[in-house]
Amino acid sequence: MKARTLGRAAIAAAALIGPLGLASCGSDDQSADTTVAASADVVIDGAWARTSAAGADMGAAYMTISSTAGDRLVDVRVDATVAEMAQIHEVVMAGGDMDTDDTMMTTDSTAAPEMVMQEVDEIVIAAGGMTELKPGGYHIMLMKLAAPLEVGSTIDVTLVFADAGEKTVTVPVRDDAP
Amino acid sequence: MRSRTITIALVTLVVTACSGTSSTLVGYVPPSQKHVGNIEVAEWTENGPESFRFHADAGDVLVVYFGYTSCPDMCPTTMVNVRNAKNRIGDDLARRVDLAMVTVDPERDLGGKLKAYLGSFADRTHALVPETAEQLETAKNAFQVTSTVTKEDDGKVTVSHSGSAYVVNAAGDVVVEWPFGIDAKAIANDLRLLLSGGA
Repeated sequence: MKARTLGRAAIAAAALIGPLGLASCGSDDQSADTTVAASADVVIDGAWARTSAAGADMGAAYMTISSTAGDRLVDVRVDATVAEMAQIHEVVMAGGDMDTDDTMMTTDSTAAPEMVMQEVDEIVIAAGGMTELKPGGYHIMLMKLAAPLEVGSTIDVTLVFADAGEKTVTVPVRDDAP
Repeated sequence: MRSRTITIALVTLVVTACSGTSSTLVGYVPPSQKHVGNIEVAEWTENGPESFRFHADAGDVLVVYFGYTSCPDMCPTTMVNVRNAKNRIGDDLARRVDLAMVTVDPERDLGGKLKAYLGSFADRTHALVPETAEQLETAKNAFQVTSTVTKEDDGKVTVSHSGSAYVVNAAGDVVVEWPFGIDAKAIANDLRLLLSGGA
């Protein structure tokens, strides 16, 4: 468990410094998967949704999606009893030179990168690969929650794949990543 | 310069993730003094707005985050990490951690919304809701935070913002910055060091 926690921290850091390509701790807990790629099926693992804070009207769900043959997540849906709408979102660094006040652009500026959350059309799952939906990256955004997301409850999220079709996942609500 | 700064902070992060607790701060320490203690922002209270200045009580630390309540991903991730870090350091140290969030979306975070939101993560909180655009800009500039609220014709609102959290001491200086993605263990390490006078 400890190794997983450390791994996750390293992954989070690595995600931020992606272009530098710094490796994590050297332990790769992805087990070698020798399953023969026989169908265009997808496997969803480790799904969870964050508890919503008081007054928060938005929520987010996370999971890992793997596919032997490769696929694309093209749409997400939730029942109206969960939220008004669900969308595929991603958090990215705001691009290039930002419109900022001159007062900010001092030579020793330590301004943190501005990050923006945006809707994406699809998430590509590479053949034999695994795509992680996680805080600070891809996530399923639940807009205008019908009720607060509370620990111990579950919500159903329907994922629509280009090849594998619809898959409904029962997502447990948790305080933090599993 | 900015990218170099971030790289340094993140390399430190990776190192710590691999080696366990650190005797030095894991977060990023600003090279030049960043004094924020003289900056004034309105704090929402049940009795009406009060003036808040960015400094901790003597011997305590003040964690400052710029976010908004409709933020489903980054803000709660950071808030939960801070809460988990406080759980790691024990009650005696944790009660010396004060938490302030400045909304970068004051038009939507009206009333007690932000205060209620913060209550999900900590007992000791300050809901800072700038009363004017200038007040928000002044606070952002002091911390070197950026944020943008974009409203589209269809009513959709997009907010982008810096993801770091800042720790301010009793003198009103930023002593360490935690980039987005830093985990609870690293935050706990830094809080422990700062509260025990070891950093």
